[in-house]
Order: sequence, then C-alpha cells, then structure tokens
Amino acid sequence: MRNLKTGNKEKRNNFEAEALPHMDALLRTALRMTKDGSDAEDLVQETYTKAYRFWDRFEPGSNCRAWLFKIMTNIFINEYRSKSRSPVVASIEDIDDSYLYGQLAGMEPAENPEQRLFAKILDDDVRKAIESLPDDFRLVAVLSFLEGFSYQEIAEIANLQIGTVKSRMHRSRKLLQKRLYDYAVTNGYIKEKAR
Amino acid sequence: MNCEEARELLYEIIDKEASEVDTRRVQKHIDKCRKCFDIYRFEGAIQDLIAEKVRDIPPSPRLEPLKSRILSELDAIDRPREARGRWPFSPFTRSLVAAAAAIIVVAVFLLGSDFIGESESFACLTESHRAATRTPNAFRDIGSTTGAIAFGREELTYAVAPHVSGFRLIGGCLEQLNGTQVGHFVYLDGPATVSVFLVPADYFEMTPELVAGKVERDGITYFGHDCGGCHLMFHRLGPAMVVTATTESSVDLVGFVPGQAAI
Repeated sequence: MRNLKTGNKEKRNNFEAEALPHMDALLRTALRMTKDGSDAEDLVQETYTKAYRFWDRFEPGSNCRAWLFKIMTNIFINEYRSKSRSPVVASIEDIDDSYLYGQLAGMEPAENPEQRLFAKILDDDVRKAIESLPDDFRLVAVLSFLEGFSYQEIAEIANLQIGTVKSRMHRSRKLLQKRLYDYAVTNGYIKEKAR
Repeated sequence: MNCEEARELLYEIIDKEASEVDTRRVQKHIDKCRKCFDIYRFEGAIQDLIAEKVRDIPPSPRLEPLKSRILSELDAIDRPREARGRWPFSPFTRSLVAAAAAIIVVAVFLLGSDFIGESESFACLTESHRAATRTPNAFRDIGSTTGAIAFGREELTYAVAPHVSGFRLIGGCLEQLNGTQVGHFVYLDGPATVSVFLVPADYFEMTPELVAGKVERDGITYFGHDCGGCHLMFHRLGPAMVVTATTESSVDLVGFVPGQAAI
C-alpha cells in the first residue's frame, strides 16, 4: 500500500512546482476583475485551495495556467460577479466599428492621426477603461489583452462558445475605444470631432 | 477580397486567430487598398497600446503576503482530517468517503445546527423538486459543474456530472430550505426531471423509517424514501447528504449521485 504521508508530500511538491508560479498572473487578473485588492486576494486564495483539493484531476503535462484560470473564472462568476447587468450593454450597438479611427480620421497630422493621442494616453486611462467594461466583457478582454489567451482557451476557461468569445471581444473593443476617446476629449488630449 | 470582407476579418487577424489562407488574402488586399491598410495599421496600434499598458503593471506588493497565506492554507488541508474535525456519523461513511475522495473533496468543520423533523425536511425537498419540474428555466444558469457550497462554517467542494444516462444537467442554484442553505441541481430528459440536492448531513436525523429504506449497490449504501409520489434517495458523503429526487418511477437515481458514475 502506498504510504499516505509520502503521497501527500509528493502531491504538495508537485502542486507547488506547477501551480504556484502562476500566482502573479492570477493576482493581476483578479485585481482587474474584482477591482478591489482584498477581493482579488481572496479570489486567488480560494482558487489555490480549490485547485489543491482537485489536484488529482489535473492532467500532468496539460496547461496548468489555463486550468487555474478556469477554476478562478468559475469562482469569480459564481461568487464575485455583480448581480446586476450593466445597462451599457444595450448601447454598444450604437458604437461604430473602428470607432476611434472614425473619430480621429481627418485630424492633423493626416498621416498617423493616432500618434498624438497615443503619446498622451496614460496607463491609468487604459486601466479605467478596462475596469469600466461590464463583468462578462471585462473577463474576456482581460484574458485576451492581459493574459494573451487564445479565443479557444478563453472559451474553455470561461465555459463559452467560441462565437460568444469573439463577439464579446468585439464589443469590448468598441466600448474600450469609446471610453478612451471620451477620456481623451475630457482630458483635453484631443478636441471633440465636430458633429 | 473586397473591403467589407477585409474588415470582417480585422480583429481575427489582429488577434492572430485567422487562418493562414485568410491572413494571406487580407495581406494581398491591404497591399492595394489604402483605406483598409490605414484601418489595419490603426487598430493594430491600438491593440499594441492597450496590451502594453495593461501588461505593464508592476507586480503587486500583495503577492508575497498572499503567497504565505496560501501556503499555510495548504498546510491546513494537508493536516490529517481527524485533527480538524470528527465524523459525527455512522461507520459506513468512512469507506464511502474513501471511495468518493477522488471525485469529491471535502473540508470538514464541526456543525452546530439543529435537527429538523424528518417529515418536514422530506416535504421541503419534494416541494422544491416539484417547483424545479414546473419551472426548469429558473435553473438555466450554471457557471460550472464544480464548485463549493458553504454550509455554515463547513465547505463542501463538489463536482456534478454534466450528463447522466440521457439526462442533461441544466443548472443549479443555492436555496434556503427551512432556513438551511442547500445546493440544488436539476437534470432534464424531455419532461423527466431529476433534482440533486447537496444538504448538510445534520439536516436529517437517521430515523428508523429512513434506515428501513437502506439499499446496497456496488458496495455503496443508499437510503430510499417515498414522499407523496416523489422518490427520494439519500446518500451520505462526508459532511453532506446527497439527496436525489424524482417523480419518474422508472429513473435509477444512483447514477445522479456526484462521483458515482465515475467510480
């Protein structure tokens, strides 16, 4: 019979070697998702304790990072996601594709109209724009922009159809571009386009 | 390829999700089309800007303290079970838990809630199952087939099967029955409905009536009980009681017990 104690030790060592290195990534995503430092810590801690309890289900050699993100995403959706759906979702259809491009087209310099804007946009503007996304969109956007997961990986992590991932990414982009434009106008980086 | 097609593929190309063929066709198009070229360049630049700004976040100072918190949490899980709680229930539990440990992992603390009269608790479950049969749509939203339910100070980590012999898991939720929080999962196969409840074990008393319904299947013990035309089956799992319920007399409820299908 296998010695239980040695078995536990081995499991613990494996877990620490495979799973703990991803804590940094999980925490930064948790921070973007919960928008609150102590919620983010709790979310990551819960993710690790659950992952440890289910460690025998992790297939060695498969993608541990994606597996941990899947666990964290489930907990986030079940326990942290705000219950009320944001009304902003309905207004997305009013935002044109390539919204920023449309707003900046015709501005000086005509060659690369975005250069002046991009030079001024701050990390904080981008962070605020992402945090302003509704939870479902923010999740997909963060997994893609921040963590670099593919559509397929995001579909598996968030338990979505790949088409849903695509459309949420598309809508997230529209909203992000609209927000960045609004910040740029409010902060005087650019002048609002005459209507 | 025309401009419209090229714009359709814009974000798939930027996200490097487009096929090689599409990527080549778009490349050919934007080599000739100034307007599309501009849009691709612009959107690519925004993508880079956003990715760079979001990734360029310094490591959180919270990381190190969090790491030690997590490590001590893992220590607590590693500690032998006996040190953290006692099994308040009968001897068959241990072998059951051993069998189910691969699927259901359980953290046990002591519970303090009071027993509720058996007929009252049975009726509550039957009623909740009937409600689910009437409005299965209330259960359509399930994030995942694994999760954890807090029973007061104790937590049950569960995994339910998405499919059981023709039935499909359509959802789950937390419910209050007699002031006790329970998990309720619903399976559908056409009009036939099966409810799976995860209930704190001390919600029930092991009455002689329940013990009389004892059945052994594959070396595992279940307790059957009929309540007003609804068949209930009880199965002890660590600190929880798994209760399956259906009004369909032909359905074998054993397969719906989390973990059993995989054992």
